[in-house]
Amino acid sequence: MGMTLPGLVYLVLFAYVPMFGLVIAFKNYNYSTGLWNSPWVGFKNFDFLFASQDAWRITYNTLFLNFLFIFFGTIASIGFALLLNEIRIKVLSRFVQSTMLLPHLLSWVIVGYFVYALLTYNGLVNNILGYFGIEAIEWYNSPEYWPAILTITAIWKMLGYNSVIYLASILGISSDYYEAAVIDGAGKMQQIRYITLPLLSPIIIILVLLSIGKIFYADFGLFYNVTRDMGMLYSTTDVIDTYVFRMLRTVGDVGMSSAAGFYQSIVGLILIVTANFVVRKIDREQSLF
Amino acid sequence: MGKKYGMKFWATAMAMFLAVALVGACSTKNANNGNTPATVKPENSSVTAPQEETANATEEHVTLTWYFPGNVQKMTDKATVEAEMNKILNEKINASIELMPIDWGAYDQKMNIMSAGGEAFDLMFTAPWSNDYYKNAAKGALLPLNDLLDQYAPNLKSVVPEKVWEATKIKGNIYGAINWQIVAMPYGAQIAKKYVDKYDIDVASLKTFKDFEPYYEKWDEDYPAFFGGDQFTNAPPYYGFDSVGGDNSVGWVKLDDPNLTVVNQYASDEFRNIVETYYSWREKGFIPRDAAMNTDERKAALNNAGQFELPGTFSLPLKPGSDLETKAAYGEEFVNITITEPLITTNRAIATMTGISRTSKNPERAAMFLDLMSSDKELYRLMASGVEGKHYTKISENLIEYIADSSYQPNSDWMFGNQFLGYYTTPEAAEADIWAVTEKLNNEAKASPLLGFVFDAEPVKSELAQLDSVYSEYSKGLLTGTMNPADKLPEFLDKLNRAGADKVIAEKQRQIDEWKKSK
Amino acid sequence: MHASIKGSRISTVIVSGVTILSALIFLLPVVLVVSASFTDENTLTLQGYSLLPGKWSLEAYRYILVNATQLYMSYRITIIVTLVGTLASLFVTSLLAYPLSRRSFTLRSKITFFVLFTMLFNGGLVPTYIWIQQYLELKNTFGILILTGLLSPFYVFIMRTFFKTIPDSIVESAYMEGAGEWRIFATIILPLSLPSLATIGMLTSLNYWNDWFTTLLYIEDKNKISLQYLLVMMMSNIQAAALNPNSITTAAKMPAETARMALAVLSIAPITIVFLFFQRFLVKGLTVGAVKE
Repeated sequence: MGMTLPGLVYLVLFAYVPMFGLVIAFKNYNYSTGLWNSPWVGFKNFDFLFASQDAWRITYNTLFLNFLFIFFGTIASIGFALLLNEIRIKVLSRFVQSTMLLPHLLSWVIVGYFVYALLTYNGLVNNILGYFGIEAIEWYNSPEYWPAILTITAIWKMLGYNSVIYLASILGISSDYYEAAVIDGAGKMQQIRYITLPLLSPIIIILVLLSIGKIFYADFGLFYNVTRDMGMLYSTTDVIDTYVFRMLRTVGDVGMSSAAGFYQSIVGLILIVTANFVVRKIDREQSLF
Repeated sequence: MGKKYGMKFWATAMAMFLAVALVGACSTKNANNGNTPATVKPENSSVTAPQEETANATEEHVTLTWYFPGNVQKMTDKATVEAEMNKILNEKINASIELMPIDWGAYDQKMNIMSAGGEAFDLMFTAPWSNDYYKNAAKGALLPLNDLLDQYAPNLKSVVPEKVWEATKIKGNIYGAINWQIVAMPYGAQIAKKYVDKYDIDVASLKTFKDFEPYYEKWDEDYPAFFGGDQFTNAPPYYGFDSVGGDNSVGWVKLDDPNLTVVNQYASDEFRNIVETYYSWREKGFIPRDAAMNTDERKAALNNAGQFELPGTFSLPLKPGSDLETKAAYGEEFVNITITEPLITTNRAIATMTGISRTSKNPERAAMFLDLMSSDKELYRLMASGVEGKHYTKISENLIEYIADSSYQPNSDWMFGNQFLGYYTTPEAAEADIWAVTEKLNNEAKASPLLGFVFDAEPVKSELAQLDSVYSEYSKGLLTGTMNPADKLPEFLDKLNRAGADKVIAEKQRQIDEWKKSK
Repeated sequence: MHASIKGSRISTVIVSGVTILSALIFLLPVVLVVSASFTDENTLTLQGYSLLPGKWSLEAYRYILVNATQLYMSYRITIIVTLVGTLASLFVTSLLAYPLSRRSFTLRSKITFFVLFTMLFNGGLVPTYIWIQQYLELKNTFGILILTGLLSPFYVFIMRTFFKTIPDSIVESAYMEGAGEWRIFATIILPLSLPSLATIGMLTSLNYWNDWFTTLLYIEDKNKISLQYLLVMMMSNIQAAALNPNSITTAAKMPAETARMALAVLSIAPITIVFLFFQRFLVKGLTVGAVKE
């Protein structure tokens, strides 16, 4: 069908052609010899990723934290979308809809400031703890709390955005189903469980699959700004993207940054193909491809 | 259906074919690019006066482009400045200049991509800390300037002493034209006079950072005395070292060591001393508990709000006239305590340079332009301060006052050429003739034994990157007393070793030894 | 919000309560930002954020609005780019997504993978730059502002999922009556997909609005500088000035942090107003589009 043509041409022009440039990952790029004539160096550009003592740590952090985000984020977003769907009072629904996308509009830099204002030693959270007689915690010096802190922050920022997608799906569900269910005597929870969720499952699965494809990438803004690049927190918050950023801040080698991207892409590809394969076995229609 | 399938299939196939064909064209184009580096061949090998060369080289009018970082919104009127500058340039070298300021936050990225992408332009600001000089030189983004400077920029060449030019040389080539400003930096501290009075501080007796402790005990304000922060890596000379390559990277040399042995500065007694002292200070409350989060920006904001620190360190670079500047800034009097002798180190010497891009179509003219920026007072003052009447008002021969919110105020004269040609902006500075004082300082100062050695990072770039990561992980914590050095310092050193500290030190030593031999 | 799950009164109270709480949590930081932008710089430094300005000051805005002309130009170009870009993007994205949702499309699986691959692999900054700059020659053009971000594989897949919910029977019966592909698409599919189009449209316009990287790489022309780029750079310049020992005299009284807050407000305000407006539309459009018979 000719319809797909514009989209495909676009992708060829803007995505596939530049992809040839991935060869930089395997070369020692020198500006005077240009892209094609710079010398090949095999996997040398990948050294700083794999040979590093932190290689395992950043991989683990990236996977673990992204898993937390996907898991809790999806549950929260679906829950919130369901909630929104239940609102009867128009004023209320308009109010929450207006505010729902605000977190997404704020840049991570600003969000970083807020988290700072909350978690700084004399900040809000410690003050509240003080009321309850709990001793103040040095948040920025305690890596163990940060997976939770980051997850909460990430969910806060993305909740509205993600819920919109689920909400649009829910709205598309014909009211006939619900009316029939009510006639059969089904309660709200049962309606959600047997009608809404199953009909939502295509979009849920797609979103989760796509997230898995990106699981090796971290939202740089989140990790860099909210942690304020505090070295003391690296053990639980240092992910591939922040690590590469620091590396390249000193060395700034184009080949190395390309190598890092390549690594993330390959792993993402393997994961998504595997996940898709699993989904296919269960229900062919729901799979991505 | 079958017919439609066929058409669609061919359309897609054609698109792909086109793409591959274009890419094929890519490779031939790039191959050609690779074979034509801009080389400069002087016509006569004997030394000739610039005038004669100029006559040959300036037959056609050219336009030079100059990229540098700055606040674009504060230079909206650059057209006026360009017009005035071009009057002079047209007459002297038959050329025009086009100023291309790029916002600070975008400069590194933009120049990086322009160089990597092989775009044509003439001049760009470069330094170890901005648009990385070393990296650009290594990647072939900059033209070697040795001959260009000798032939087309003799004034520039002579105003900067030969030993300072040595600092720019990588494998014998100069890749950046030095912007002449203070290079011999003494280190010390700056204390707000009101504290000196309030706490009866005996300024003369302050020799080491521990001497501040008794005053911390006395400290009475409602904020902690010392903000903390990285006071170690930004001032190697104060601790008796000179850095090799980047200030952060492992491997410094003791200034008084004739053998130029490279040591791990983080394993030194000095470092351990600082870290342990700061830890105890934080425990005692002299350093705020959140000191690690105090960015330079935050400190500046606190200063603005009237809160100053009693610095527990003497690692502040103190050029002549800096107390006048801080006074003008915050409205407070300051006392400067200078501890070290001024010393010229490589990083200071090349802190600001302008390079000529390999892709420049007129390197000779670019070099001539640089020469004028370092010798023509009028031209320099136009660039640095703008047009009289429009952007500033003249108070006397060398003293001006900037018009508030004017449309041209780059405020970075140290980027543009010979800073000592510029105007003064405060009467005190004019009276003290700060430029002359500074220039004298430069010329008379001692040079570090390593001046002229440039470290080639290429063989150990992966290790350097990892070491920097380890440094990022521990530095703020240790240097603000947030981390307990008892267990964190050994941990830090261990991680450094595992990241290849020994390899880097060995490589630095090897290069230094080779350089020593060749002298 | 008409999909009716009928329920009891208690749940209404709970639902309302949780909703209000969430809305407040979303709103709070924005209120703090707005308040901070109207606060005196030194007060903000010493006292931190609060719901109402500790000491009222318009200095931050005054400082920024010195560049009113540039601000105006940037607002203008960003609004145009967002509008045109969103429409174009919806067009191309839905065109690509629709065939992928029809089981009868034979190349479906292969093209899906083709699209997915671009989401995973990226040529990298330098090759893309060289390609766009030197070969496509799109530097400094209006076009490049729209083209980067025109088609997102992510949105293609979401739209595909939405399109899949339209039963094949509808499409089949339209074929029977002799309608062609494009006609079916325009008159049947699109109207039925208003929720998804509105959603993706909203998300896409947000992306265009916030994009600053494209300007950094390709734009030098003053009247094409995107709003977000301008604001990000204003902030970086303020920071650079604050740290530059040579400009310390001018930097001293600069409203650094409050300016950052004011910049954030300037960036969010227009799009929030648009969304508020757009919202009513959204609700109306969705109720109409939901009828499927």
